[in-house]
Amino acid sequence: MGEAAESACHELLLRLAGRLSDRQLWRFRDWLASGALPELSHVLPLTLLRERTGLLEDEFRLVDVALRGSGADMALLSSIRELYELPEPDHTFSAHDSDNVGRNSLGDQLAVLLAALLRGRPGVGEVRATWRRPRQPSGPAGSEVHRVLLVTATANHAALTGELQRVQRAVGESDPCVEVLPAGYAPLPYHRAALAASELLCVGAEDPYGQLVGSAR
Amino acid sequence: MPESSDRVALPIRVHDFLLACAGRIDDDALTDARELLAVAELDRAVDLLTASLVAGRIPMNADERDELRDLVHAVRSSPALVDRIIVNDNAMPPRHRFTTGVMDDPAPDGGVLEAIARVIEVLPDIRALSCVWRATPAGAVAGPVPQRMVLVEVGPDGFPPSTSYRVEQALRRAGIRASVEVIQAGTEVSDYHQDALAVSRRVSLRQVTGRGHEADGEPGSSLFADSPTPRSVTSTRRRYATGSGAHAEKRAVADATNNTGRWQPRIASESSSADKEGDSPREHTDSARVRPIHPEPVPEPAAQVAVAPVESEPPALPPADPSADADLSSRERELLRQLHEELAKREGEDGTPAEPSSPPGHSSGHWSANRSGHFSPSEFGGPSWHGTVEGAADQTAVNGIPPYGSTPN
Repeated sequence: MGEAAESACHELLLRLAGRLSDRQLWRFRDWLASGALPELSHVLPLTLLRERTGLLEDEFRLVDVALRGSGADMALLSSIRELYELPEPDHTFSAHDSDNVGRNSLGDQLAVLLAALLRGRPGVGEVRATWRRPRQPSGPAGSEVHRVLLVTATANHAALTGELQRVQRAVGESDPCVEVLPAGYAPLPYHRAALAASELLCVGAEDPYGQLVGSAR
Repeated sequence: MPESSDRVALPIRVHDFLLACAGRIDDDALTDARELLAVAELDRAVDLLTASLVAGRIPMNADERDELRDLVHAVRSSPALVDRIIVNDNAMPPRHRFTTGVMDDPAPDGGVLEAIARVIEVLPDIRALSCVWRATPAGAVAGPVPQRMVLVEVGPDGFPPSTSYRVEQALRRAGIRASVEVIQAGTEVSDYHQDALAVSRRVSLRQVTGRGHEADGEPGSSLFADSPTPRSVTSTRRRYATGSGAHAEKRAVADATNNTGRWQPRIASESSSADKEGDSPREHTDSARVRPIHPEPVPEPAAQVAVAPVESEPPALPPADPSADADLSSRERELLRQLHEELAKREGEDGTPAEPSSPPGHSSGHWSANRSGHFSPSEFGGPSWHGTVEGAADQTAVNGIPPYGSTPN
């Protein structure tokens, strides 16, 4: 798997946050982290078509770099509708989960775990977290509130995403939301809103006040 | 597998393949694939499964890879997907540990029956239910443990993919996270499921409204044992070897009394034949890893697993309105049940023979083999599709709704 293709695919999946379901997205990201880009090249276009998910012009370029070389069906890709602008995110974010105080009332175990894993790690900048809820809830109160991790990193974005997803799943988050933001990434409205309402959990070895997007706000 | 491809419905083949992958890929991948299968998106189910196997670097033996290739071909997906599957005929599937918990651990069946009562009531031929905790992680992207497993046995008139999906959805709606493994009577059971069944806790279905014919009660009559008996994998194999005679005997009875098998003989049966005839190393390996419940192919293993001596208790009554809200609370169900009992009592007082407290066939212990002894809702003005088993294939109620144009008996 070429580095450019992996990097483009990571950014494509990053930009699809909030547009595909968490359940689909974390698995696609795991496949990418596991080197299953050929499989992803087959499944992702189909998913975009079946879910009627459109792409921006920039994202078509990412598709081309990421998936074409791995055998994506160009006819299928041609059917994906083009978006000219993204709608407002379907979610709102807050730094604290006021409705679900019970989740962390005895301590933030995930923060402890992430600090043990990522504090001082090379290639990792800020590790932040935010609570996400849908603008129009459809389920019981609190059931649709998810914690979103926002990690700035300078390298190995796909692998880091896969690792953190697996950690989150192991501690009970079935559909983890892990957004590993590369340096220089221009965040879409979803990530801008998430970063604006996030709290800092820990910092890796990279200078959080350098080029990384998390600190560039 | 060209022959099995011709004879077995494609959704059932995919369902069986997913069963074979249970314990090897993560539970969420299984659940998602089963959902896609149930909602008739077979291509996506097979793609998800294949990509999960590749990404998780999960080895398969050559037969499994070939079957997966057939499935990919059948759903018109890309054959290239299968090329990256790791093939290793010597790789052993992971061993898992199962438990029902100790001391104050939560029971694996806690809240399960309440959550899925309505599904059990309306879906056809659900015969047994067992619950267990799996204490070991499954797959490359494992979720937390313990993982609750709900094991469901369906008869030949059951729909395994639908049952798996509907039960899982009902559990999820109730806030219960579980893997739902649906095994059709008469099919092979993998070591994974045998290990789970051996320690699982059997849940009685009698208290579910309209479930007077469940298969529990008679040891050996079902895949699902009544008494959990922890044992090693190897001992399981011996146990089934010694118990095969009893299965064969019951099957002979069932073959004479039942003729409503919905599905054609399955891969399981075919490979059983191959085991008897074949002498290649691979066939030997496969037969050691996956055992048939029955020693020979069983085209129509129907009512033999439904044999159930029934306790002397009022028969479970179906709801007056089968299309009622699936989310009835337990209190509402109880009120409904009391109402039916009162109606039954009044009809009895009016001279109409009411349902006996012990259903026909109780003395023989074989009443479920002939469902004509069931409570008939039509006697109380209710629907009649819970009646006899004859013509069940034609009269199958969909989600508890009778076929259009049917008339009460």
